[in-house]
Amino acid sequence: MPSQPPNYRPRLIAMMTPLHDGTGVVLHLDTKVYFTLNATGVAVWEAIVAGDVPTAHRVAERLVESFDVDLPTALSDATAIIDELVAAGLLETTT
Amino acid sequence: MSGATSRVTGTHDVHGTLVSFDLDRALVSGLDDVLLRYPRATTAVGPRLTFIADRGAPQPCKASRTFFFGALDGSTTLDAFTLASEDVRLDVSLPKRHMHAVATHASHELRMGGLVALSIALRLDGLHHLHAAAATTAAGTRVLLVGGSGSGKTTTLLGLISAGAKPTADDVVFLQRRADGSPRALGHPRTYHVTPQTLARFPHLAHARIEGVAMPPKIAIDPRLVPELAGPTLLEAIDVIAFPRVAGGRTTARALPAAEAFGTLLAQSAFGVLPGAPGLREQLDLLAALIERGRCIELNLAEDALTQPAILSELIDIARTT
Repeated sequence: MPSQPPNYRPRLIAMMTPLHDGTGVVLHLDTKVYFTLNATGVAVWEAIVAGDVPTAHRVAERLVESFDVDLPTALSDATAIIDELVAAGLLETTT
Repeated sequence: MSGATSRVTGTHDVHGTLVSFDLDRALVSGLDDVLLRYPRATTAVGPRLTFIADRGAPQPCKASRTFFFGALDGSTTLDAFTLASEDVRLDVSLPKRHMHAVATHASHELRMGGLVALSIALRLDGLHHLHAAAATTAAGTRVLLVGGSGSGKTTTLLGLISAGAKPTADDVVFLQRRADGSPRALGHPRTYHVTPQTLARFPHLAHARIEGVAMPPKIAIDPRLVPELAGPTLLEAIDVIAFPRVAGGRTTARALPAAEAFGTLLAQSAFGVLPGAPGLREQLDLLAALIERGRCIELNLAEDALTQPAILSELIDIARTT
């Protein structure tokens, strides 16, 4: 039986602030390290926060709706950004 | 041995919050820059805080450290903060709106811890600490100068003043959200802390130096003794947020991307992002509103800014309009 793709959610210690130019900053409340997001990163974060089942594939679908990008490219971008956010301790998997 | 102590009491108006204090006189010089330069309250109406300071040996803090400022260890429990070192302990109770200091003597740690305690408590009333100087240039540009110790905030401020600017704060402002969502800046009144090199550049300040206040090698200047250091206590809007840094060559400015500016603002509002501090979301949104409404520039300071301080005003005024 194939394994389910992981769902993601922000950790409680992560606070994202969207900025007026489309970028954003995620603050890690424990370490006070902040992580800057470009417009794609902000869209990924917001898709994860808003999504009922926020898998990388679902996030990529949201990117396709918002940006002029095909699904394989969106999936590649979303996966890379999610991996970075997980590594930074800002996102966690729920499955 | 007498157990009697001499106390200093009163109520000061800290930007609309009435702070009642009861201080051991021996500690007053350590808290002058924190609280006592605000005006006496002229009304009994408004939110209230209390600040008690007692002389004595502080009890060690048993809670584990969750943050620190200099030599002060900080810990957070539900609705309460403690800052402690060997000689100083400050407790802040948010539900009681109460600050209590115990210290062996007036010291830089007491001063620093007192400001942290006050900054945490004022968050209850929507006042958000930012490590910044503030001024209005001769052309009317309202500017915040944001940066850590040694970045050149005070030198830039003094340069702007010599070019006709009016100062609002030397080192600390409190940001407050206006009804329309935009931030305004309220100056924290305190002594100016300058390096000996800066004082040599602005020798007319030397007569106002006071001893035992600034952390050496810095020198404290009492702004009440220098007419040109008088200015408005409030900036209703911010046009430019400048991030000075000492550089070589000649003085220049460059526009700063929003995320980079936001990150620097975060670093200079450390009291605001303490675990458990009230109003954290509001603080972050206020910083975002600040950079949305103001122009952000990195100000690369060189020798010419000191010999021709009008350069600083010009760069800041240009940033406002571009």
